[in-house]
Amino acid sequence: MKRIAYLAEKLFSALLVVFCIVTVNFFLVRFMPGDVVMHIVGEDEYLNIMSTNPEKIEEIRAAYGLDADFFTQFVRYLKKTAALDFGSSFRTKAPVLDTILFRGKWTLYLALPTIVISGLIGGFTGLLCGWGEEKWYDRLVTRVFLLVNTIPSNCLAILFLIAFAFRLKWFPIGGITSGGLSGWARTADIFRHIQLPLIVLILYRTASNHMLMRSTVTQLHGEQYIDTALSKGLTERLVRSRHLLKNALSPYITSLCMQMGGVFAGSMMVEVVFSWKGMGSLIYESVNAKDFPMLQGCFLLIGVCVVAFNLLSDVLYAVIDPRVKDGEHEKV
Amino acid sequence: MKRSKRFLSSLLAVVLLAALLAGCGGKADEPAPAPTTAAPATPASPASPAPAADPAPARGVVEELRVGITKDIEPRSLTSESGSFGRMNYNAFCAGTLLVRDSENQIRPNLMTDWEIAEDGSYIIATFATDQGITWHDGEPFTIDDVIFTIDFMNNVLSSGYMSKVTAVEKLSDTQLKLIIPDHAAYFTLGNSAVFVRVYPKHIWENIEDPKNYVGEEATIGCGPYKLVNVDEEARVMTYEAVGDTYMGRELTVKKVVVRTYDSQDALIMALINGDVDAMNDYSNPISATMLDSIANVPGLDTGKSINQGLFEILFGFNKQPTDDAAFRKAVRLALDYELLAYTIGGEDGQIPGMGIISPASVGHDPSIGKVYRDLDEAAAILDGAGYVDKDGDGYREKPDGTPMDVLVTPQFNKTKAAMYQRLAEIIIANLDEVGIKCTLDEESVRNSDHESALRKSGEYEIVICYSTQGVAYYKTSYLYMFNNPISMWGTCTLPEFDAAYNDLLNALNSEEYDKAAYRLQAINVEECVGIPLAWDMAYYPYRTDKYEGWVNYPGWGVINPETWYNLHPIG
Amino acid sequence: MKKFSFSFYLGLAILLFFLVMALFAPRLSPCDPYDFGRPYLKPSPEHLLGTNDVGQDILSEIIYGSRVSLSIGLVSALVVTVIGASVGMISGYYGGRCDSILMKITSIAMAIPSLPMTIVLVAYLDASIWNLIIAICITAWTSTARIVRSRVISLKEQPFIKIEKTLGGKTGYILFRHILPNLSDIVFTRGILSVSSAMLTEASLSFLGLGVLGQKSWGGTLHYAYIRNGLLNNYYWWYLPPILCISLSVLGFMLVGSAKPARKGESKGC
Repeated sequence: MKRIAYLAEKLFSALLVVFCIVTVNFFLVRFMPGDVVMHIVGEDEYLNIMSTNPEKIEEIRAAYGLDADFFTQFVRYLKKTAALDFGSSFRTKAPVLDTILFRGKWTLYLALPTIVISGLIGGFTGLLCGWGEEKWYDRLVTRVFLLVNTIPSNCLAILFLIAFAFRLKWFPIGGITSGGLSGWARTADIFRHIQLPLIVLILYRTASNHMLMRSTVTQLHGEQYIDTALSKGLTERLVRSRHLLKNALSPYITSLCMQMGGVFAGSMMVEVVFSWKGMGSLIYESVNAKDFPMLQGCFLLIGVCVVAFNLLSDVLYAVIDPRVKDGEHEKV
Repeated sequence: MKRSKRFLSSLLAVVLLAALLAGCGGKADEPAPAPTTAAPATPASPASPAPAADPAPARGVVEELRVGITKDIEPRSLTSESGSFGRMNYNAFCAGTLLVRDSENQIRPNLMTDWEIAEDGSYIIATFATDQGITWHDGEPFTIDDVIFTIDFMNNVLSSGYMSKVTAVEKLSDTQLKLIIPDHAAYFTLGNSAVFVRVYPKHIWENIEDPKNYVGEEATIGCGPYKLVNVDEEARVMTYEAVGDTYMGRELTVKKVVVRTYDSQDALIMALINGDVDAMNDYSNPISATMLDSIANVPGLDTGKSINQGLFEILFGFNKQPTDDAAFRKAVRLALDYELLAYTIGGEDGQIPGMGIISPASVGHDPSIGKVYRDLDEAAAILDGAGYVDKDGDGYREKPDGTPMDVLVTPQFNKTKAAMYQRLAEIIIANLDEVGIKCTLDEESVRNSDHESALRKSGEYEIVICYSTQGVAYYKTSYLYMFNNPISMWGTCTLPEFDAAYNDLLNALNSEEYDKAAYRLQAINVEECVGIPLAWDMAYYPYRTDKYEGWVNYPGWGVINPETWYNLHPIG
Repeated sequence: MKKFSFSFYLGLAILLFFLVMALFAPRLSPCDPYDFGRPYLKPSPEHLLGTNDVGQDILSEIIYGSRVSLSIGLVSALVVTVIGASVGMISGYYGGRCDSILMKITSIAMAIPSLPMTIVLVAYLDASIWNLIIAICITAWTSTARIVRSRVISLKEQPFIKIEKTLGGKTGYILFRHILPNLSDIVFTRGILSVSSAMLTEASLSFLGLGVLGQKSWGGTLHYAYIRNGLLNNYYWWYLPPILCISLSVLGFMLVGSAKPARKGESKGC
């Protein structure tokens, strides 16, 4: 029963956070300097209308309901958001939702394999190195991953692009596919294109997953119940596979789950360098073009995703970890 | 314990499944935007003034030409000139253009097959290829009504400038129109619109409510030699196919054209080096001379060097102080480090330009005018003489009335060349600093095209660094940007003699009149310093030479041009 | 006195190196990095790392760049840590409604994608060092707040705090006299790690061309190397040094921040 109450409370607060994000989104446009109409139709079009037909500005204002009071506007905005109506981008003229779904899909293709593969590798090496703390392989692997973490992802991406794609020609230079292909040939071509950005992303994720798992394991290592288990005469291997795995996995899985929430924003720099037309490069392009409707849509999607997966990780936590008793339990 | 394992494994399974689906789920082919019913254009009139058909038909045809571009695949509409679709149409490609240019930059007929200009330039009798069986890509015939509609549509709906001098159109027959041009600018109208003016299908555009924003599939239907058959959003590739074996009586030697969009010129050049594309198309954006190092010694790659008519220049805002003062402007001209500017812009090929701006590559260049030069003492003397002295001892000069002076330097917004503009601004600001003129970089305009265009429209700028494009430099000359008239993007110059000379240039009826006006403009610029050229340089539009031959490199334009479609053949 | 590991001293040495570089930039650099000269020179005794696209000495650019990069990193980290620690302390100590409101705000801030948000803010605020710092800080304080809060919650239950409380000790006194000193290690660690993440963010922003124009920073040098064909032409003396400097200094901060006294079992994973 306590568990259900715990989850209900988490669900409620997640909804509250989503509501707040929507609100922030609403104010984001309204607090930017300049006329709101300008942010909705685009500055260029705004000035164009201003010089040819200034009355039309007021028509647009009325059409978007911007002449109403703040509260009415807010309610209307909420309704539109609930109906997933984000308007049209003024950069491409296309509906925001369509573009986001299209771009989001391509980010997912990059992000999901990253999370799975790096989750497995990072978890494994972390476990190994955490158990054999300060052994030669721990020193080596941990140091390499520490170094990876110090290089900005865009830098590594550029170096890889230049070295492996441009100079050595092992991989294609950027983009999603070369075009003109269909069926399996196309899938294979996409696979060829995805490899290099994927490698970069996996490297970074693995590095941080490794660190996470390693520190969890080293911490558990010293803890009492393992000592107890050892004293019971169990073999070391058994101890590792039972107690430690169990106790190290639950925070690890919840953390992976939280990473899922960040999928849409996490690969931004890599996407920009490799011309991968996903959410990250969409945000970058929209910022450059001051495309407010698009940015609002992106932020909402990313925010909701983060909240949803945080919630999921809470659920997982409650399911996996029997120690959860009440809402006070803290994740590290 | 068991539960958690099960949970983990099912989670992994779901994720893996999704990842697998990713590979297979990619949409293979978008439906063709236009029905493929377009009938091949059977040439009806052998009297076409276009150059004779290729005499050696035995040579093979190019099955697929791959072109790289740095413009986005959106928007795709005849009304847009900004995306990949719009830019490719500068080459009489998918859209049918009224006129084209040849490699000498002379106007050549296209859909407008012949024309006759009235002696006083007040009208044009134009003949159109409406009797040659040309069809729109949806199968409808191309008629004289489409041309009439186009002129009205451009002037009254799109508010485009190209045809704005044409105030009325009279239909003389099914192939002939009389275009009325009250302010005698017939010659200018033709020169100005060549390559750029495309014909709109009346049956499609007359029914569309908001044509500027319309991006439906029909928006790409043109009557040019190639039709858009496929858009691959993921690959950012657009595929075009020839409408038939011939177009207006000439053999199309390129059957299919694939245009791929790249994020940057760097990426495009890498693709070119690696052989992923055969040539590049980037209107008025030749690759930077700084890239030469990487392409100079690549086998099978030509750097595509040609004379560049486009050039970087400085404009002065005549609505603001101190840039409305000729003395100040001349001091600026004397303060700049032209050697560095020329090298930064053109690398080894960069040349110090003449004070007349118009480059030797363009018609109307006056060879007697000297080069710009740097003389800081002379600059300082002019500033002192005009009253720009440092009164408060802060190291910077004040305006003659004693108020502080801080000149805003605005680089034109350009995404591909942003770094170049910033660098030029840095140099100019540092140079002016040396003679005690304080300048500030207009950072907002660097980041935001809208801010820059607002400044442009209001004319409230001080110093602008802009690029006079190939198309402008060729006929309208770089002075267009200073001309205070709606046809100019920037113009604020209020000097009456400049105005008169530029009007004469626009209304010139023949090349002598044109040259006379151009010489006058250059002389005025020497005296008044309305604008300052920063460098004359070469243009590079590299292309591969290992697969095809017959490339014609239009100076400052590149090998993708209106002639490419009829000239290219596989080697051997 | 705690004994520190080798890696701590290594990190410290790296940081000292860059600190000296930043402090004595005008003395150390062979040229004025703002002076124009002949562009695209290859490395030579005169210009050890060659010149960039407008003829500025790259070595001097890198040396001066340490000032902007380090100061943005340090100042942002300071702000982030102060905000994060205060929110965490207040939230953890007072608990109840105050805690839940602060934690709601924290979770909202966590749900905002930090790099995109930073980019948006930088693009809309005029780019200056201060706006860059604000943009970096606005989303970066959350994890510090969460960690500090959970530590404070457990500290609150410690007998000595409880005794102090029942004796009627003033809140401010307890917070600063008893709780803060016990937080010093994690606040320090978080602070140092914030420096490195702020530096990485700054490098990303400058790389995207959103840094302060005309300011010499490592990210900015890399930006120009990238966009002015340094990579295409493989001028490694132009694009490698800034990458190396960013990575090395971040490494320095990480080594110092994650170093623990040589005895075991003290580390806190985060």
